[in-house]
Amino acid sequence: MSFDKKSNKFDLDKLNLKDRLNASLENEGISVSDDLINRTLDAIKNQKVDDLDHLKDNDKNFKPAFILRKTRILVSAAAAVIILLVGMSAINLLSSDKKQSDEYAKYNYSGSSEKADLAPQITMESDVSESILADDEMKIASDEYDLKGKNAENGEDLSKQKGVGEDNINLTSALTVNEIGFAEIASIEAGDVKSVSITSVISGKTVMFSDKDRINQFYAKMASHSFIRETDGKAEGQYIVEITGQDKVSKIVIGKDIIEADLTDNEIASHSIYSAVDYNRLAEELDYLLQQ
Amino acid sequence: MQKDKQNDASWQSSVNEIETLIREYGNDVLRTAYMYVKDAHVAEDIFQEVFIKVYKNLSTFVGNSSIKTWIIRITINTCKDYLKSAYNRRVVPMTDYREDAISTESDYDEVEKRDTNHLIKEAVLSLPAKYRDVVMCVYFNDMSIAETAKVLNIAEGTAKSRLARARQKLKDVLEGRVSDEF
Repeated sequence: MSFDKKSNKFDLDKLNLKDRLNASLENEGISVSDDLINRTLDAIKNQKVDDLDHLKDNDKNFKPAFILRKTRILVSAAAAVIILLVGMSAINLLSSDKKQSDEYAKYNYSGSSEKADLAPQITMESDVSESILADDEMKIASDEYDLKGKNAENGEDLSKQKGVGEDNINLTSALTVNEIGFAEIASIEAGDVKSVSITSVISGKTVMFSDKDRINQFYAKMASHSFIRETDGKAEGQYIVEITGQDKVSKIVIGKDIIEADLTDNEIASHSIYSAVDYNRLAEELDYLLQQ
Repeated sequence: MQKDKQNDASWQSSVNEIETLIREYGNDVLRTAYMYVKDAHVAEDIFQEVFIKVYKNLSTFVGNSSIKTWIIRITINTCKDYLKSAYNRRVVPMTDYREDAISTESDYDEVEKRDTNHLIKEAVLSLPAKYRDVVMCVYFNDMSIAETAKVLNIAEGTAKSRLARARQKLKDVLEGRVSDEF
């Protein structure tokens, strides 16, 4: 190693710096002793133990972290479901309030009988409604309301939402949110029907049947039709369907644009206005039944 | 159990390897550290830290440089980290110089030689850090200019110029003060 030797008389190379520094440092006791070596090896051994402890700690921490992550996901999912249910019940509550006030205005009360009996009922969602009512949040939100009637009024296909009630979706599966089924218009369940009469206003032809099979067949056919609740209007009657139940009589006057349904339940009478989503198909169906 | 035994054997082999390195390069590490921190105890702490780092990272050493250069690089970086800490910058370690009693003529020569060595050491220690770095690498740790530049993360030209300046400063300090033996 030689640097700029010509210009410097002082030659660091010849100084033998390394040896002199080593000698000086050795003289000061700056040397590696066996003690220092042993201490260093011990430190390395401790390091290994620390590393192992660290790894063990990591192993210990791994499970709780994993469980925490899972728990967090479950809690988030549960919170989302609760929020959804509360939201649904709140919407139901609001829309029910509105409908109730409308119905009070429309129905002709002859006494102070229970409102629940007057409201159009649908029977097929009972299982679904009960399962929803089982939920605490739904109970809180809809404590005083009959969800059977309300859900049916809103035309909500709850069985679809819940993925249950396969037997119950027959009448509602074809309905969209604002549509309602024939059973709601009739307000008498098929099992309670004693007799049905269908009259064509134009032809004057009437057919009446009280056979259970035929009644069920009639309800099954009508179930494929959907209706929309209207606020006002007068039916230019084309057909009149009279359904007689145990204590109820439902008279449905079907016009092209408007359908009027009058329900008499003992001393209580109610009047509702609807329109058929597909009148022509409904008329064909009724004509077919009239021919039988 | 078998895995534990294998791990223990592997670990023992690493420790033996480290011990070999300590015995071979330990003095270079300790003294380089001392030249940076100027405190024997701190130099020993750094020595331990360096070899723990060597132990931990030995498997990552790919052999681009000699293992000594690699270890000295770790030493210099550890020393710089130590000196960077605010606390340690406030503390200026004092090194005691032991002066033994002179009894004979040969003792006198020995003392003179020791004084010269001490003077040279102090001269190197008195250099600004950037010049001392290259002197320690080139003259103490026997590195080439290229290796020095790599270890210090500077360009080779910079290493050369710093070395030239370092030599000039050492000349200024030592010329006329050290004996003519060189």
